Amino acid sequence: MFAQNFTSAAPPYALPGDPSIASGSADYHPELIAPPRIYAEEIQAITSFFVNRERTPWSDFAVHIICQTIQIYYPSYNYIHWRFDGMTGVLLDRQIGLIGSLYDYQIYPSRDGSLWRVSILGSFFEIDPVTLEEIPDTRQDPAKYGAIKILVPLVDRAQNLAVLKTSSEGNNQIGVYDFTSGALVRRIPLSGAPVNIFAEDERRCYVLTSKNLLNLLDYTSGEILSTLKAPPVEAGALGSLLTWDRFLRRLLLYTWRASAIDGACLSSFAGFYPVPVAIGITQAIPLLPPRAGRTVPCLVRAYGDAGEGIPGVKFARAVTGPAGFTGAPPATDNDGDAIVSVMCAAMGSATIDLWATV
Amino acid sequence: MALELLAGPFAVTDALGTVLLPENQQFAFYDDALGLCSYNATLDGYCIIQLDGRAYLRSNAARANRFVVDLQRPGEYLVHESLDEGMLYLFDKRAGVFGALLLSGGTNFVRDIQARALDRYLNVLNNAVRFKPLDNSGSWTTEATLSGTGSGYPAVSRTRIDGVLCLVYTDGQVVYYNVNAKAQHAGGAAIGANSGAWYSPKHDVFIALVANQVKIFANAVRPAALSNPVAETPLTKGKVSRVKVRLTGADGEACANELIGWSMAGAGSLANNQSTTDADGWSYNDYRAPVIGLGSATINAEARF
Repeated sequence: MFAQNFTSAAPPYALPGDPSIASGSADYHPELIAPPRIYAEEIQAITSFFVNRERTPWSDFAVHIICQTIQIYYPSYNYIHWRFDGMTGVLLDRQIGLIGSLYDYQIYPSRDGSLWRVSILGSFFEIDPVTLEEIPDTRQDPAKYGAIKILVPLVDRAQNLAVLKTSSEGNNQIGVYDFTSGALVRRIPLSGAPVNIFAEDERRCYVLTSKNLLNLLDYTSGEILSTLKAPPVEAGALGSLLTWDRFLRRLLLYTWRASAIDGACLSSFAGFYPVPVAIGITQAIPLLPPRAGRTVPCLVRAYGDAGEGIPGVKFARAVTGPAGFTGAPPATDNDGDAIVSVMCAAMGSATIDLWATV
Repeated sequence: MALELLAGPFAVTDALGTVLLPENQQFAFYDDALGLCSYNATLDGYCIIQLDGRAYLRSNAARANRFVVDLQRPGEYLVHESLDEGMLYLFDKRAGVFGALLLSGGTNFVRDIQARALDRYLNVLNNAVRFKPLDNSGSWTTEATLSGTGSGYPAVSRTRIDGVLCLVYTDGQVVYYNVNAKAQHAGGAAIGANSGAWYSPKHDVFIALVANQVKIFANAVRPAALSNPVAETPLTKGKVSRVKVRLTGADGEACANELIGWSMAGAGSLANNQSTTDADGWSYNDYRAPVIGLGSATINAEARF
């Protein structure tokens, strides 16, 4: 689990008659305005979620969310593109309408900040960071990479590499390809099937897998540097999408939630620093048989939600019974282990309580 | 040498408390940096089991695969492709994923590999330690015969001594093997029937899976009997005599580092109220007999556990 450090506001839906979508009669989806519901639109699917460099009144980057919606007006569906200030999370604006084609799906920021979009037809291409329209002559045909479909792309032009999940990779693999020639450099086994990818720096990327496990890779060497659980999707969520904020180096999780009773949008995004925090501690395990008159080291471990040991967790402690602590309150080592030393003063049983604040 | 249970049994459960049945023996290993690593079908992959039984998914996997202790890379493991046991790979224990392919052959080509030494692969079956060259050619050849073993394939783990492996059999016997000397290493123990057990070099304990429960055993014999005090030197008026007792386990094995309480009634005095057993289970005290006067003395020794 990661420490959450940010939550955005939910962007407002448009009301009937809102000039941004009022383009016909209200013939479609009457359930959206059946009392007590009052809004003219509702999210139906999340298309893209990404961070882009652009000047705002508060910072020089913005968070973008593109969703498909249903609406009460013709043609019954639409696309909304919400833009939020990257630093404050303030909603900047909303744009209506399809960008690209119905075949164009998720947008992936790449290492240099360029934006790439996958097509349901199997290719991917670079898009203009302002208009989000396809940049001519950038479309990457899957055949170049010996595949029939490219599912998840990350482009690193500086090193002339493309990190791709194509139809040719095994289920739990991602491929590293020469971006110019399309030649396979290596395949990297992962902790699950890759579903999203985020450039972290000049050689590392996060890959989100189908088990909500996040692998941090050095794609230039093929080494997996860490495996952590991605921020969990809350119970009852209708959908979610994760992205990487390269400006503040944090993960952003957009959560699509059911609307409020009046139909108001409740979906928002949250920020997480990719530093794991403990979700639990083990029971204290004596490492020597407890005896009257003996100081017994007891092992306690702080762990995260991928079972990883969490270093640097300080414990508070209390003991009842004929025993006392020796030494200073413990803190966990690099394996997440800490030793609590208990002096057993006399025969009997003692209860050790340990707790940590994370 | 029945070892003393320190903690457990703890049921293996997921984060919600659902009881799981993890894979065991060669399909699991204990590593001090990770915890107990095992495949579990309910979690759909390799999970890390904490010592109190709580399990968390580390990576998705299609099936359980056998692990191999890799003495060529400190702290690392290899993994079989156990669908047909034809291939052997490096294993990234932190990510729970396969690495580079090391060996490839037909069905069961790598089936019996349990450890990789610098110059050979190793397998232990019953009391026989067998080897093959690193190209895995030929048949297994016995290089040592062990005593005090159990039957079948033991679980293999590292120890605190470089090149010495700990072998734990499912019927509970623990023996040690020096890979470099190609000879049995001193020591042995018993932890009872298990479905996989491993030594923890960092904590000097044994971690055992017993069906779907985790038990932790001390690397120390559970005391069972204390001998009567005997005098090493004759009890003589005005002299100091050394008296001793021996603490042993259920099979007569020595219990080291245990505390012995001393008391007495009658004439004379004891030098210490408490002493510690040595490596052979003996603990000593000095009795001072009075210079004058007659009478008898009763010396009591007590071990509490």
